[in-house]
Amino acid sequence: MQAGTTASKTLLQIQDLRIVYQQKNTFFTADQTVHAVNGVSFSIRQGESFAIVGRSGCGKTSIAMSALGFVKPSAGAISFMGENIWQLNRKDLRQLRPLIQPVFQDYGNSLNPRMTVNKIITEALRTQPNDRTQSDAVIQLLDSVGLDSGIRLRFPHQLSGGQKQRINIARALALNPKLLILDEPVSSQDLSAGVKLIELLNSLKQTYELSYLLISHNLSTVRLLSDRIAIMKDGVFIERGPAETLLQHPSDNYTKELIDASNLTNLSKTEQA
Amino acid sequence: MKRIVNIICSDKSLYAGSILIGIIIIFSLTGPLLSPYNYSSQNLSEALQSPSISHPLGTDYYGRDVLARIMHGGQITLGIALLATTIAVLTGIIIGLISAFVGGWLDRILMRLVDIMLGFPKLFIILLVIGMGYSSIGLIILFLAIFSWMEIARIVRSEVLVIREQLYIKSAEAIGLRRRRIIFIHILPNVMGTIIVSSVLLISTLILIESSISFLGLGVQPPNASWGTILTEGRIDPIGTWWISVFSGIFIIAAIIGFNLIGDGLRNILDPKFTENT
Amino acid sequence: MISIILKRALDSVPTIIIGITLTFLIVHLAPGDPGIRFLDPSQPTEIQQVIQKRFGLNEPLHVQYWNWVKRILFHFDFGNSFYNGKPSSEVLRSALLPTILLASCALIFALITGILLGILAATRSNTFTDRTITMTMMFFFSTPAFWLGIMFLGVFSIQLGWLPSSHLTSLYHDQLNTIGRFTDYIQHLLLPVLTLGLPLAATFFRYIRSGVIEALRSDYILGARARGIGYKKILFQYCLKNSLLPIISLLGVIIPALLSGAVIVEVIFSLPGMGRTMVTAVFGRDYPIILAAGTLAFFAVVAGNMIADITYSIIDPRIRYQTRKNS
Repeated sequence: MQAGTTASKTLLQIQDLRIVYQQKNTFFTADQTVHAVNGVSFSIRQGESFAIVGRSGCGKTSIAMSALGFVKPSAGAISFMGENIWQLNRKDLRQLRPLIQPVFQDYGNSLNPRMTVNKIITEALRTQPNDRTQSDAVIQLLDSVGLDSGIRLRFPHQLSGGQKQRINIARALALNPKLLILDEPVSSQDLSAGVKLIELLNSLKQTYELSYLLISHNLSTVRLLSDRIAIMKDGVFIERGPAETLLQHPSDNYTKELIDASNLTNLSKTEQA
Repeated sequence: MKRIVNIICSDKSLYAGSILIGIIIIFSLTGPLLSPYNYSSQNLSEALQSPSISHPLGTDYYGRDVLARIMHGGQITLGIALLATTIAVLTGIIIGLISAFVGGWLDRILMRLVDIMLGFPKLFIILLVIGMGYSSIGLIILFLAIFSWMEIARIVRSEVLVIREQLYIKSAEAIGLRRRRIIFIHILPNVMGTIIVSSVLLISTLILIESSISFLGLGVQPPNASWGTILTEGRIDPIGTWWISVFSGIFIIAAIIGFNLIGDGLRNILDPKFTENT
Repeated sequence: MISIILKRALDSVPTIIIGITLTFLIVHLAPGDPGIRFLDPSQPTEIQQVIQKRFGLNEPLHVQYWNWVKRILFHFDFGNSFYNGKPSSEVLRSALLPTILLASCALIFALITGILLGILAATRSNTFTDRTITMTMMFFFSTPAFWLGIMFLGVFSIQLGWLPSSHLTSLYHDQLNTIGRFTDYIQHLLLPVLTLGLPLAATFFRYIRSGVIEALRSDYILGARARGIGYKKILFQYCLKNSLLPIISLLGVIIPALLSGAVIVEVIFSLPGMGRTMVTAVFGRDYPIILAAGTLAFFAVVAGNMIADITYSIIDPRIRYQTRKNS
């Protein structure tokens, strides 16, 4: 699959990634090793969105954490725009990092409880050379994620879950990223809010020329956001392909199970409504 | 300022403790300016008077005014405890941060040191050091600090390790912020609450240790006097000269209760789970 | 189980080594020379040197240290007191009994008082009884042992004359029959035990009270009550057991605190225990006694920690066969 893509177009390339967790145990018991990711390869081209779907514990979050530079791979390579991020020195890594931004699943916990919305976003803006004045930029960013500028002076605990998530997205956008890593973007919300968020993410992708790496356990939510989907189980991809093909003609039993569990019909109905 | 007052009024223990400590501090600082007596001027003709109008808390064996001595002793006792706490807390923060961020063998060595030093019988070792001839006030402060930083270091390390895994720290890293900024802007302020609570409780522990050592005659030496030094003078005849030990003791207890109340109150505010039980 | 004990024993080796080395260094690097204390300062320096030589104080520090360690390891000899020439181990052995008696009585008193009052206050939480007990305990929690001791001494021994003011036994102790001796001990120990035990009881009280209140609210207790299990059984079997856990883990801190407190109490009540021996030795620069007492104190603390850990692992099934973090 990677054969057809040229280097200039490929944003993120992951080759034979393996992540092994060593669980150091006490003096008298043996160490345990957990193979979270067991040889995974994929690439994401510019403007593309790729989804990894699997049940919790399948290793999908480990891939994301590794691509963000938080969890060191045991083997394999992760390159972003041609640079192997795990071979960069600390300074170069810091300069590369703004280009890959996470929106974590636990978005409440991703905001420093002691900072106002304004401070959270300004802090991100400051790391970038900006021609706009900062307060303008904050208002513009809030506007682009569909939030009122009046929210600026609030603290995270004064916001709703959806608002916090949008602040997370706004903060990521402040850095002019190329790739957003979205962990369970629509999992814990009611359906209509989920549809709105999907629309927002799709339009942001156009406006800001973003690529997405989506991590989810639910096929129905990622289906409307992703071009390609990979199904992950026990640290490996068991099936992958273009979103619609995969959903309509799943070849693996596990994929079928996931499709059933995702209750696709539900979302289609809301779509029509 | 207004915010601080609001916080203090929001918890009963904190309110009571702050008032108690406030009174003791004002009393110790301004008292010597208002009192007609000097803490060290002797007047043998007035020796061992029980409390009266001219000497509200009586006089000691050398005819020194006990009230004036207690006010002076307050400066010494509180000064020693506060300075030693400051040094201990700063050391603890630095060592805790180093331990958490450098990790590896340095972390193991530092935490081993903390374990070992926590196992020391504190009073014994401080008694020994000070008793062996290092009994100037500066050295007392230093030794109190040397044997008190470990708890803070351990708290800072474990809190930092927890907070560092929080997603807002990961987000800050992903933004590309410098490590220094992440530590001082994102991590430390979130650890500060716990540090403050244990610092306040440390103050009362150190008041207790300092007065115990001075009580044994090994701590603050004449002509200077801490509350413990004053108290020990009344030990010879606890009934005949009751006012010497009783009043200086009440101040020690009041200061310890005060700081304990402040510590409890701050903990209640910072940890709502705690409020219902204590 | 045995592995836990072994591991803890191994863990405590550095504590003891560093502790006694530090004690040795503090004692020997201190300004002033114990030899001088026996002498008129006008005596010629030769005599001073003779005395130094007798105590081995003229040798380089590391040689002194090595000799000291060697004697302890191979002969269990801590050296003789500079004053009366008795072996340190003998001096300490006779001082050990009063301290152990005092500390264990105080611990038992504190546990019983703390637990009973804690349960009483918890079951009547926010009533007048609770507030009175809590306030009293807060007072004892913040009261230094030396103040409490002096007040007890003044009121009960000197003013009222009910109890003896010093020593472990009366002069005529040996002439008493068994019951007489027993009451004699109790009379002499009552005030010291109260002085040492009350602040400790207050510490226990705080933990028990909040622990029992929390337990009484928890789902499993409500469930047990719903199933009709008696209130007393719930209180003493379910709530108490859980509230005792933090106290047992506190033992590691309580034992050094007890030793520290014993120093003060023994000085006030002139009990011939370890603490008083220590303070006298520090004042008199009696190096062998200081070092021997210090070593013993470190062993006591390490042993206390081990006992705490082992008790904890027996009582709490969750950590059995596993070692506790951070200790």
